Amino acid sequence: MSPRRRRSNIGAERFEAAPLDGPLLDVIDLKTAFKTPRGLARAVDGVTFSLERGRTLGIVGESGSGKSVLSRSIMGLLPRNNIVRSGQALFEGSDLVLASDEQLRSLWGSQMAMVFQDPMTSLNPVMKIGNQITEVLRQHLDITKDYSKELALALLQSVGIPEAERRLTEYPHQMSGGMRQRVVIAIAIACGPKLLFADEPTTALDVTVQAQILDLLQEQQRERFMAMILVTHDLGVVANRADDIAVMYAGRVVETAPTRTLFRAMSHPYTEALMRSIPKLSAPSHSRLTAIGGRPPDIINPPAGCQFSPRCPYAQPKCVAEEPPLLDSAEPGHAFRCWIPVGTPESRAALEFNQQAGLASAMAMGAV
Amino acid sequence: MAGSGTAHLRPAGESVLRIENLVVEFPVGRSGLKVNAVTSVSIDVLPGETLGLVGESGCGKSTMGKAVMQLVHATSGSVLFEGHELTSMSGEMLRETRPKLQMIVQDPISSLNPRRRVQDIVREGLDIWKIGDKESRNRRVNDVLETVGIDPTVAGPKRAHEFSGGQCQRISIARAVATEPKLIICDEPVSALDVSVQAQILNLLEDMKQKYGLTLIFIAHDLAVVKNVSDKVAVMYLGKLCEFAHPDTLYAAPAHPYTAALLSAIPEADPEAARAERAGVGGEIPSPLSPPSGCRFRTRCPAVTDICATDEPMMREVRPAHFVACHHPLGDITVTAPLEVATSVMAPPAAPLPPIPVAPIPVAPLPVAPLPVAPEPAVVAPAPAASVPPPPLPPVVPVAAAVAAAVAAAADHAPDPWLAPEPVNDAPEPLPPAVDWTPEPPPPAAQPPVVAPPAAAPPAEPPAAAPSVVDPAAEEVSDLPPPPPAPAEKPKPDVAGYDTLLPDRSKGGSINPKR
Repeated sequence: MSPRRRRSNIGAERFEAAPLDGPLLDVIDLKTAFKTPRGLARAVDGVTFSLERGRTLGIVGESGSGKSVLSRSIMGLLPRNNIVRSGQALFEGSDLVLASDEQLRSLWGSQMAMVFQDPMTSLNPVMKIGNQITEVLRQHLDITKDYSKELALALLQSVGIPEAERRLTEYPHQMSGGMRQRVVIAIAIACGPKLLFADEPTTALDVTVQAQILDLLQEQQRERFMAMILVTHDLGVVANRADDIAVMYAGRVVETAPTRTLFRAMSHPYTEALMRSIPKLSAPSHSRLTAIGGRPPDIINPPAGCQFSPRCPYAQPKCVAEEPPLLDSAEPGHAFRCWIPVGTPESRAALEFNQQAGLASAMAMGAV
Repeated sequence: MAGSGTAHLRPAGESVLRIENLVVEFPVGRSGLKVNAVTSVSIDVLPGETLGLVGESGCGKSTMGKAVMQLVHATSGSVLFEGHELTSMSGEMLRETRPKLQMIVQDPISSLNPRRRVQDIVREGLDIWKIGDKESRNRRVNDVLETVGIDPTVAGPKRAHEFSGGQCQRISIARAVATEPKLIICDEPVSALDVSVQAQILNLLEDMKQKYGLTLIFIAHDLAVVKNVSDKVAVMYLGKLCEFAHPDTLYAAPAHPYTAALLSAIPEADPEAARAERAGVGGEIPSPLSPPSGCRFRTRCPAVTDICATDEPMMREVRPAHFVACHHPLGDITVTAPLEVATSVMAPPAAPLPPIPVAPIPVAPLPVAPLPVAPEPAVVAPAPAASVPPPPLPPVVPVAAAVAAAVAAAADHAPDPWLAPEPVNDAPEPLPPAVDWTPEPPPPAAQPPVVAPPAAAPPAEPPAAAPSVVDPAAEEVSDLPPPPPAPAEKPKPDVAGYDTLLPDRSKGGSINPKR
């Protein structure tokens, strides 16, 4: 039978019996490692979170922190070879880690979709825009060709593409980056997915276009009550748009909190360092930035103790010896991985001690 | 806005670099069309100053940098470097000038020759110009490498692929300063870097500027970065200059609608900050093949009037040392604290400008939030470049409704495989084998029996045997076992069982602590 018409029955029960309460996505201790000649590269190392329907989770971190691998691992987009995955990613109760390719194919597009970073390469260059949109519609919905064209046109208009009718017959290279990203979003939301991954959706775009695309994503998300996972390296992008934020470092979630809590009471030194290293519009020109010295750790042979300790201005012997667990703080929903959380008297003492010892990362912090 | 004029230039003798009415055009095949990359831009840089050049991609800022280096040929206009005209210079003269003009480009890795050693890359300029003897050249190389934070003894013999992006950018900076240049053009030097590394490089550039007395032209699209490094900021749009001022003044009170739109588009890393009133620039940059007449920003400008289509605005001083090319500059600005500090040190205005007549701003048809790309205000006079008026956008709602209807229709379809499960093994799938790189206690053994009816025992891999899958030799990890043969749809009871595995959801956070 043709693979195009074949569908698995993975969604069959869920369509009627899917629990409407409970989280949409429940990731439990998900680990993903790549086999390399040097050993296992632990890109995602035990991530646990859950995402409610209609909410937005922002995942923030430097490149190499595993944030993109995490989203691809949940969605099952990574190749099967040379990958080791464990843990669970429960999407409405079914484990995506164990799902077969065929089952995943029936979920992609219809239940969950992804908007990739580079709109130049995520569209098929030899296929007209219209066909790329109707393809996903006809794959998942039992509709006629004409109706799928109508839907495609309406979708293009809903993502704010002018002259949508003409655009349907154009090829991706005839459009600008921002327009292409709009097309990618139109394809992603075509079948009304419940979960949308946006993996650095605006990194390749100009700042004015970035604002437009982020607004568009937010508007579509509200309208369709989608849950969204917004992966970015820019705290500014998630500050106004995510309900919760998870900060990743070396494959782990080092701090997670509702957005406002995170910005008001950030407790992990890495989160603080990320914030401090961003040039601020409100600061006068030529103000010195507090850079994070050093480099992210080797994820093949990770050091003992806290992964951030070699770069941390507050690091103490305990941090190097023992890895801190992800512990809840007093604030609801706020958890972090640190022995000496920022803002406590201990952290001030530790910083002072490190500065007296002449630790470079502590000196960069300036006066206590 | 986007206009011409030279009102903002400082006296000719003072500047290191003075660009006047620079025009760069690229022909498009044999079509007779040309890309107006830079059109009549004038700009100058004083010694020791950092000039920030910002704008969207395609606005000609990189072409400006290349035209200064004479890497692209200027169609007309002049580029005076230390009083010498570069555009008409002979090849040999230009070659002799180049050590004083250096460039740092965006992609740090591809800008270093992958087959050469780092120390050779940095030394090449010195070798070509035979500056000093071999010993002193080596000393100079070690010196600059150390200054940029690269250990010369360790890193010198290595090649570019052995370094991270940030380190490669440091090497590029070392290479640029090795020949003791006067002017360095930094073309998006931090755009390809992480935020943390970006801060390191920006700090390094400041240090190098202090140490070597450099003059910089800093090209970037990130306004916050440009503000951090610059003494003067020039905003470009579609090959023209819009605004020129000190960063603190410019950012506190932009006079050009385009600058205001750029600023309002920046996402601030502060959820408490009230979302700035969107000056909202909709649409996209028009084609430089046929730029709009008059002011080039008029097709996207919220304050557009008839005059914008006919007359090109010229640079003029709206506040001391704050120049803008716009017919309707944003006046009546609430001046914030930093601006007062900035302006108080400046000379009082020579002649206070008459209050600017605020143009009737067609606010209603503005392309604001919901659909950023919307029909432009109809005020725009007919012009060749005016983009074709898009058809009125239909309301958004039908799409969602239509899709929902389609989903519903699909669901109604009786033979839809979604609803008609094939009569396959309905047995609950076995528990995922515990695959892990560190042996952890097996999942609670009570799990599977709860759901698995004894009759439908899974064919292979009894769940209780899960730990045995882990290869004792490779305590690291075993391969992911083949997915179970039966459809992996997990019956609900199983899910409930998994819920008990969760640490504690009652705490209310959406993210559960691990372990």
